[in-house]
Amino acid sequence: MAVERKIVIITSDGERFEVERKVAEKSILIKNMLKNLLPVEGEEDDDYDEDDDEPIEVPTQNVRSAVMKNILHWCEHYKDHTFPDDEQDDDSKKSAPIDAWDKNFLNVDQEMLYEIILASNYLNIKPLLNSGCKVVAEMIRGKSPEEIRKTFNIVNDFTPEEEVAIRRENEWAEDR
Amino acid sequence: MSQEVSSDVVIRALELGQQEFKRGSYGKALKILARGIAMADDQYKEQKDTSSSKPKYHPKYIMLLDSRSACYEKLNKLNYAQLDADRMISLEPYSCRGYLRCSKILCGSNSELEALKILQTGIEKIKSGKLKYKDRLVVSKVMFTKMMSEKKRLCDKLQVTVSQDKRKRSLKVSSETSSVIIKKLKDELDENSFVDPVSSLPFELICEIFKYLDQKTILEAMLVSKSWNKTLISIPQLLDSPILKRKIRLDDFVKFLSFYNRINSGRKLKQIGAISLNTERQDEIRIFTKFMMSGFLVSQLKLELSVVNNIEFGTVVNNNTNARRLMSNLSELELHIRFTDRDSRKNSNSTTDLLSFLPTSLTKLSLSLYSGEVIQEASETREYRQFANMKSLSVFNHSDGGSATSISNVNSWVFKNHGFPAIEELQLIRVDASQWTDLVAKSRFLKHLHLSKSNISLTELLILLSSLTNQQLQTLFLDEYSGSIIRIQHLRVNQLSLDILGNLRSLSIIHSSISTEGLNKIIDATNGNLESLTLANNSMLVFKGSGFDIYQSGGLVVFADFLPKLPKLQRLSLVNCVNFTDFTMKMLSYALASMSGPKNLKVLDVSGNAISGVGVLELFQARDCSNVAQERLL
Repeated sequence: MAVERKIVIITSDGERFEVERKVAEKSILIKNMLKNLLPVEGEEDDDYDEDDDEPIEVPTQNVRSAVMKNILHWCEHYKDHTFPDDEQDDDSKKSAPIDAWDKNFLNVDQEMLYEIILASNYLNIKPLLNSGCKVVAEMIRGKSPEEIRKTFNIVNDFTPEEEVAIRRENEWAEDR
Repeated sequence: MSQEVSSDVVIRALELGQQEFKRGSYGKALKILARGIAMADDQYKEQKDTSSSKPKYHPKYIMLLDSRSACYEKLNKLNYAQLDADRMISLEPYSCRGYLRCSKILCGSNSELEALKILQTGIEKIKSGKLKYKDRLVVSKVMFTKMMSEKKRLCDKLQVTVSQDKRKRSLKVSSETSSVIIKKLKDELDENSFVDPVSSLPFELICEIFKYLDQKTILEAMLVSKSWNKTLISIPQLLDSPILKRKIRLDDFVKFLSFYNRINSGRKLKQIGAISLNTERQDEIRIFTKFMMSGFLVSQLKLELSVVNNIEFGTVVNNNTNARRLMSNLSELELHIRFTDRDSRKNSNSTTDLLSFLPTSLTKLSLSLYSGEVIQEASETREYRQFANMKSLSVFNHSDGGSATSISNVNSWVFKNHGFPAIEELQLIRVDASQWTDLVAKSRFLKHLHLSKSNISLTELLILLSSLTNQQLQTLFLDEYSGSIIRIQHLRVNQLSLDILGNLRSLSIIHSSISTEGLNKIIDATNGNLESLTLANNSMLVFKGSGFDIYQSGGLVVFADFLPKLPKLQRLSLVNCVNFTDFTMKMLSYALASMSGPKNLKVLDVSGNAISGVGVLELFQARDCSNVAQERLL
């Protein structure tokens, strides 16, 4: 009876990932989904008894398997970790450095990084989303326009005159 | 009606054209398809002219173009074929068809390299589109695979191999002759591993990323490209709290206003979260006036005014709707201002409230007053104004200029007839006790009290506080310093109820005449909740400087007695203490290291004392078993 039902996450390209409930529940989206599907512990619901051994399938249309693999790796790593409640203390959260493990985990190519950010946003995994956004922010922080262009291979479509004009517009700003 | 008929005709044209094409009569097919296209063009034009909504091409328009392009290709009119293919790409940049057609035509004219480039561009475009629009963008898998395989075929043909592993993307060159072309190609293919975040992420996530960045970086990022500029300018909350140049000049301030008008153009209300204004002196009046009339709503404002005084401030607010709106929406104000009741325009009437421009909705007010001439005290007959939301009030009188009477008169304008019923934090520097004791006595929510040079002794303050019923006081800071006058006054706490100190977290007593006995009483009253204790320049508080010291009245400070009563202490400052020696340091070290000492001490400040390296050494020796994490020793 107490055996936990398996969760199977199905990606957009049809791959199936079998995971523990607490791993899957790092995603608030999935957690809320399961809340509606599964009876809360100690509060047995007869309807579910018969197919208790059937895994619960969770389709995630927006995430392809290569990305999901990464996401689940992250969830697995943090499965026993409770993150402090969000939204409070915005400033200290802003200046907190990226967690070292996350930083290493997010050391992937840019396309994968954005896909992880998109997926963690869709799946509602706030701590991963924050780390991902911080990694991108760090790629930009303190750089000159030219350095930013190089980082993301962006073509400068400003004429030198336009650039000078914009710089002049910004002369109100404290240079720090 | 004609719309539907012609729509059918377009579809019919496509079907017929494709039939003829299969049969090999390309010329005939071309004619039919061209008719279809012309028809669809007419429909488009008609829509554009008649309907207000955005005109749309016929759903089969792309197919028509593709088929016609194929006909031109067969008829070897490659230029025309190319035109149609280009058109397809520009109409539907996220569709594979245009890129495929285009590359096919280019291959036909022996421009395989160009063809490869087109395919590469297409693949990137579609990938970024997928990222951006997710499922809203439908891309045909078959077509996309075809693009990939076509790219591979061309790579092979050009003897270029593209490693599939993205991290080690490399091209292996097997032919000497094409090395130059290959190098160019390599550069272009390398672009693949860099993706512009602004063009591939949705708006909300761009906000998420940039909220971690500072003003300087954001302004630099606006220069990256037109699309970055456009995107970042459309997120006004990113630069919600602008940091302006100090001593800003008028021309730069005008640039600031136009910049903020631009980033706020999409908003109903022009808003700024927090702003601090410090101007070049000769431009102050003009900048101040411009700012007040700008129509921005500000929530936290800091104004450092040296020219504009309170009366001129009031005049601007009273005469301008925008300025009034700005003031009434403020929640926090820090104001440095010269205070006077002499109106330079000679049109004042003395009953005007000198602080009438302050909105009563403020939650936090900090006044730094440089007194000009204030001749009159505030009269009791003024209208009583209640600052019902004010949680934090600080008043700082600068001593420069202005007689004692003048300062006292200024403060009467601040305190008399103004109510602060919700006050939680009160900070007063050089404000005579007679002005504010009433306010403290009435405050029911006071949590933090900072008093410096405000003409009250510790005894008087404790008597005042003992009349309060709340026990919420968390911070008590008292610096009794009063120039050359030393007020010796023994603390008589025996008769006092010190319940008010029951929840105190932070206590600072400076320049007081507190005795050891008095200190012990106060510490007992804090119920062991103190986290920070500062004792500095207290002439009557004598420490045990050697084993032979005995002191008469009040006794000596013995650490072993009082530190065990402060289990939560994190910060201890004993500065400029009397008779604080290496021996004292040794006793302190023992007390800190002992089991009954505070466990979480993080900062120890013993600056200004007569201690040498020996004393410090004592501390480090004893510290092995304590948790002191950091010390400041001067």
